[in-house]
Amino acid sequence: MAPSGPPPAPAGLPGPEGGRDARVPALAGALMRFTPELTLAEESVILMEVTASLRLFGGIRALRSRVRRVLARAGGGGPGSGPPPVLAVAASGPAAWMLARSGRGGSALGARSLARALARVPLDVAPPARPFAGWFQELGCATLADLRRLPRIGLKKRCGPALLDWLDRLGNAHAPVPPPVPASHGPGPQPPARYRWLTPPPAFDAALEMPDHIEHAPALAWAVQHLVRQLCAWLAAHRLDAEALTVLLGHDRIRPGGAAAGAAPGVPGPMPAGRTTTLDIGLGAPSRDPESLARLVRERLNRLVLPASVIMVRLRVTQLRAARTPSLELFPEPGGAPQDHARLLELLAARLGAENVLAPAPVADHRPEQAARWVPLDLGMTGRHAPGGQAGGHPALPRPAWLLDAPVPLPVRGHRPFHGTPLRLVSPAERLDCGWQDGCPVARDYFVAEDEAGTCYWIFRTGTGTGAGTGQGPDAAPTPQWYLHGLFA
Amino acid sequence: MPAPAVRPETIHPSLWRASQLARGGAACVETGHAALSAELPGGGWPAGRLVELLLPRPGIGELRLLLPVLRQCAPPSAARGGDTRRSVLLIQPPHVLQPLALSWWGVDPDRLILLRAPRLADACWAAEQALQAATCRLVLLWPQAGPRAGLRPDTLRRLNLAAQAGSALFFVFRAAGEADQSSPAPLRLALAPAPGGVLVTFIKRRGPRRDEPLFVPLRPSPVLLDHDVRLDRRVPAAFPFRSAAGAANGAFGAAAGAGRLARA
Repeated sequence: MAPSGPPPAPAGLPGPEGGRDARVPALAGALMRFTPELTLAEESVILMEVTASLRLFGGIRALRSRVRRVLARAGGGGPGSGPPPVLAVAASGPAAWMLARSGRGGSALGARSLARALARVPLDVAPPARPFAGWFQELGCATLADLRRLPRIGLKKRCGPALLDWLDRLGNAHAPVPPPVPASHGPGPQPPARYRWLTPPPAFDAALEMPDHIEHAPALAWAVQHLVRQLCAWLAAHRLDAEALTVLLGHDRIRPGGAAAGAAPGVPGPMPAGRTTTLDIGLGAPSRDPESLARLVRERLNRLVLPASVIMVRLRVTQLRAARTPSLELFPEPGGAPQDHARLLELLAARLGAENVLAPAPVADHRPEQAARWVPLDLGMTGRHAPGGQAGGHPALPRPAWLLDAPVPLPVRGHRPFHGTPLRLVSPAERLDCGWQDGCPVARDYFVAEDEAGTCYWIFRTGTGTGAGTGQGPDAAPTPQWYLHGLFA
Repeated sequence: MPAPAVRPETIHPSLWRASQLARGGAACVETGHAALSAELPGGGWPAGRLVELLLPRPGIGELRLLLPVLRQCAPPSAARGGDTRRSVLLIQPPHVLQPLALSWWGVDPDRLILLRAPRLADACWAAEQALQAATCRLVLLWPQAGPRAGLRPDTLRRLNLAAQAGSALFFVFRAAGEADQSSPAPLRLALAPAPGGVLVTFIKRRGPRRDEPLFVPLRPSPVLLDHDVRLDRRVPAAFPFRSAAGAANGAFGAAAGAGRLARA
């Protein structure tokens, strides 16, 4: 690869004759993560200029294997897929186009290997030679090598200058500027033209129709994965990270369950309003990693119960933010990047529910039930928790780690509270008499008690306070009563 | 008995005699209890491995046994550097954890995350994800064994493998009755309550068998009255509470009550 020479260009996907393969747009989107300089050439070929991307992806071999993985996913999955895509790498756009179009693929970066590879290409692949295919066949001329052996003057007289120009451009891989396969093959030399690179759409909104009616949300995982891959390629092309996504599930008109009936049956349009299930997904850390995004959406889908069968999945990105460049540290911090931790938390919240991922928010209150407050964690990491809730300072007296949900009444045997064994009080009383202001008054004497095995409990006695005999709950008991409330773990 | 000609422990770090504690395994974290560290292979809790603690019931001092580690993973605000990550994960604890108790211990509750996962499969999944992400420093799992199926050995094996992805400390609290089940954990300790501490029985460790339990004193002790005084304290008579007008600052009566009893 000469530095001033034309770029190596992998190309792929020969499609059916006439018309473009339906997979090309999606595939072009997915390939855009490797280079922004990508164009849709003739006959379902995608040309990519990758010279500027080689260092980032670790050389042409590493890049080629990554592209191959993307191609394998596009060619292997999905219903109604065509022939498998072909990948070719060459030092010029037309050469790569020829190699890819021949169906053979392969890599030809040097001048000699390119000449060898091109010599084997069948002649009917070349567009300018196609009108004369019958004549070449009668001559016994099957490959480009055979064509090159024919006298140039006779060839020019018979076929016109276009074929010879094309042949020269192809043979000389280090020509100054490789013109693309032109839109029209007019006579005369084509002016050198640059490729018009594909520009990604300004907003991402992709939909996928289901081949069948999907009844269970987990079965949508493959469709979501497909869409997420497109999204990530789009994000990479725009140098953006997603902060929030919306997954819309379009339902069938006929609802087998009969649930949520009431919408008129004849609403036109592929996704009428009111027949969709909307799934809003916020990300703790902005991301464009297809694996983590797909996993996140999958966990949310697993928790979803569909009101009707799904015929279409649509993915939209609702919040974006400029991508941060990954920091490559010489000594990476142990415990991973903060983004990894945020991603873990959002994944946990996706499966367990945000209400089950809790952070402490202690309240300055003497009553232990009110003080031990846990609130759902703010995944956005903006505010830590509700202001004014912070209980300052260290308590002067011991507190048990485990607090029972509801105090357990303890029997009294031999004038002692009893829990398995008789309990011995090992602390002075701590009197709590408060809560009159919000209607949950407590009047308790707390003690630390030890049983015969040595376990320490936090118990309280009630029934002597101001609230005795009134209201409900353990604090309103008319007579003294012992309760177990905490365990010193 | 003549001394052996070759001492195997000098050949390779992973070789040891049956009468010795293993060396050269995973990185270990100091337990903070000298007596316990001396009895553990590597001199501490193995990092990046599954450690099982078997309890007859919750609340016998298991958290205070891990308190030095908790303090290290969740240092109080003054001692922390720039890292404010919540790196201690508690999965499905048996009761409500009081943040006040943690501050009493000198642990910053703001470094903790508590996960409620009533289903055993969810709890194990959460632990596995957290360990594989390798961003937490301490993961505590209380698997709630259901009526039909408890924690299976293959689940434990998965968790042990996931733990090896990072260097987090990973403790699973199980019932004492499951001590006879097989487990891939390299360290299994049974805890029993004892006055002023906890009795640790080594069910499985890479080292010689030890039958007699080890007493590990735990602090801070919630016992405020002096133990050495062999005085059978009667339950004190109930002092009448003050009127509702004085109830707002009624909690401050605690100090007065404490002083009265201490003099008694």
